[in-house]
Amino acid sequence: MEPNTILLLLFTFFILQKINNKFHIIAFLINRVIFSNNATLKEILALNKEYIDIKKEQDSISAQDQYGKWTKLNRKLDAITAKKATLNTKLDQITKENSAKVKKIENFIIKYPFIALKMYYGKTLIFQFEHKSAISRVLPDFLEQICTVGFVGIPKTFIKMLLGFIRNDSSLSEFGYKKGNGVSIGILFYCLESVISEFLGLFSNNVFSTIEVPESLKKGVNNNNVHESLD
Amino acid sequence: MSDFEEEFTAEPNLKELINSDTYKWIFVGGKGGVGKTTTSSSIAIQLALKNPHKNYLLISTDPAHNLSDAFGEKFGKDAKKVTGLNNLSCMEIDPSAAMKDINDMAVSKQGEEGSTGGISDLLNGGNGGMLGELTGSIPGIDEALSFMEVMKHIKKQGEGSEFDTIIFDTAPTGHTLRFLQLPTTLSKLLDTFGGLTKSLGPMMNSFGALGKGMDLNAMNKQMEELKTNVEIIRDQFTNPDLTTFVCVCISEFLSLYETERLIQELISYDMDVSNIVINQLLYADGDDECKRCQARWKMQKKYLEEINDLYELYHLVKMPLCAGEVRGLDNLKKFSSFLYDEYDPKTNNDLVFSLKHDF
Repeated sequence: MEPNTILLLLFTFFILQKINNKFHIIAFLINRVIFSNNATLKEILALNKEYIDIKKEQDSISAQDQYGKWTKLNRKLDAITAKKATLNTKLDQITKENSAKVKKIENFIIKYPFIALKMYYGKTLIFQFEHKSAISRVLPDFLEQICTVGFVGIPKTFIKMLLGFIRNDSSLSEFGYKKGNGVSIGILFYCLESVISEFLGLFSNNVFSTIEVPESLKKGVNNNNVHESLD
Repeated sequence: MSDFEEEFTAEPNLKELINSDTYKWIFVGGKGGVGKTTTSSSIAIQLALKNPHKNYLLISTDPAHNLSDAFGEKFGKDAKKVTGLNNLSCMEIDPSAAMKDINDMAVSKQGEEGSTGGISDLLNGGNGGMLGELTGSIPGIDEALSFMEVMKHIKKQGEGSEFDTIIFDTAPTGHTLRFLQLPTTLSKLLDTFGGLTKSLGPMMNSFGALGKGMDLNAMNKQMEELKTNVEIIRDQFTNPDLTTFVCVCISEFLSLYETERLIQELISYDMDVSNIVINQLLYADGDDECKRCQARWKMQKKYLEEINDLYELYHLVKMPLCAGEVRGLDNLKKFSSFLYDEYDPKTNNDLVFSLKHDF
């Protein structure tokens, strides 16, 4: 695969991951497709509708003038509330299980391919310096070699050297890596990721930030919402 | 209407309750001022009259006691037989007297063991003790003491209690619901406490000074005993053969509203409610000259229709409003007879004006 294609692919995964973390798109899509057909949720929605209808009917009559009818409606509301409480407990359990499943799916779709791609193509050079001298002797030779091998390659190289020593194979026992003469996708993406994350953080914290409603007002706001939804 | 409802029509009287052999606890409750004490006294009298071989105890758990006024004789914190009825006793739970007893017991125990000084002396000693002063004003202390009374009788049940059935003249709805919630609340509390003592017990034992005069094993044993008793109470209260609640109301909106709330709460506690007594009915039809009575009776009739519709499977007992106060054993006997045989305004109208007023 061309280095630019790999870079583009990595960017796509990176942006996808960030957007998904913020807006939970995959969770939304999965819930939309699978969870919306959940019988418990459908039942709760139906009960909510029934509750609002009954409440409207109850509010339209006077408790004193039509006490019997008002009380019967009240009993129905109580029964719905009790049934909803049971179903909500059931739904909470389902949601919990569902969240774990969604997390797994998210990992398989975005996280793991992203990591695998970074690891597999991490050493692919994306820029090359015309003159080796441009980067040589910045660090001691050994460290420059390690940088070329990368963090994943270090244990692998030492295992190889150990095997060479045991087998008395001189070709294996040497470090054997030449210093690189460019910038790999791994190191470039590591730097870009840090910078972009910082920018996204700044953007997200300022654009999507909300000011918490004071506790003292929360109750009043909730009550108003309930009344509005019932009216 | 279901087949069951078509076949079953509840009688408008308390015959089933009065003739029952199984009830150990009968609660009478409702909104304030609807005639709870009159009704509970009437039920107790009818039970005592119809079952002379049995003994009954009527306990008032209302902080504003009315039993003494209803019977026209003084009752206190100990059960006392009603004059003229050998198998009915009454008592009024008095939080301050009960707290004083507990305080006196603590002080005398301390006297035997010798003063330890410190906080316990300050709380228990002196004139009445600070503990008494403090606990007397704790919210819910009336319910707690009523509950202690129930515990006493539960303990006695095993040893052969002198009373077959205990009737509670309860406080207005809120107090009563709190009282009836106590077994469940206490049970949860004791479970938590049990868990805590298990985990903290060894640590507490190691603190010698804290453990002074406090035997953890004895305390755990007492807690276990308490828990067993609380569970017995909870089982008995939720057994419809042993416990029932009689709701008292008047045919007015607020009273009915509260009765409905009470019934729904009781049902949620798994308590049996199958009787409703509707007091203070005017029965002022056509021939009654009092226009105000006629107007109020019209309103009462409207709510009676609603009651009949809402509680068709309940025993709905309709009681008249008498011209005078229903006080004294004779008047209560007369009045209570209509809990057993339903009141007919045409044939039993003389009851309204026939009560004696020599109090």
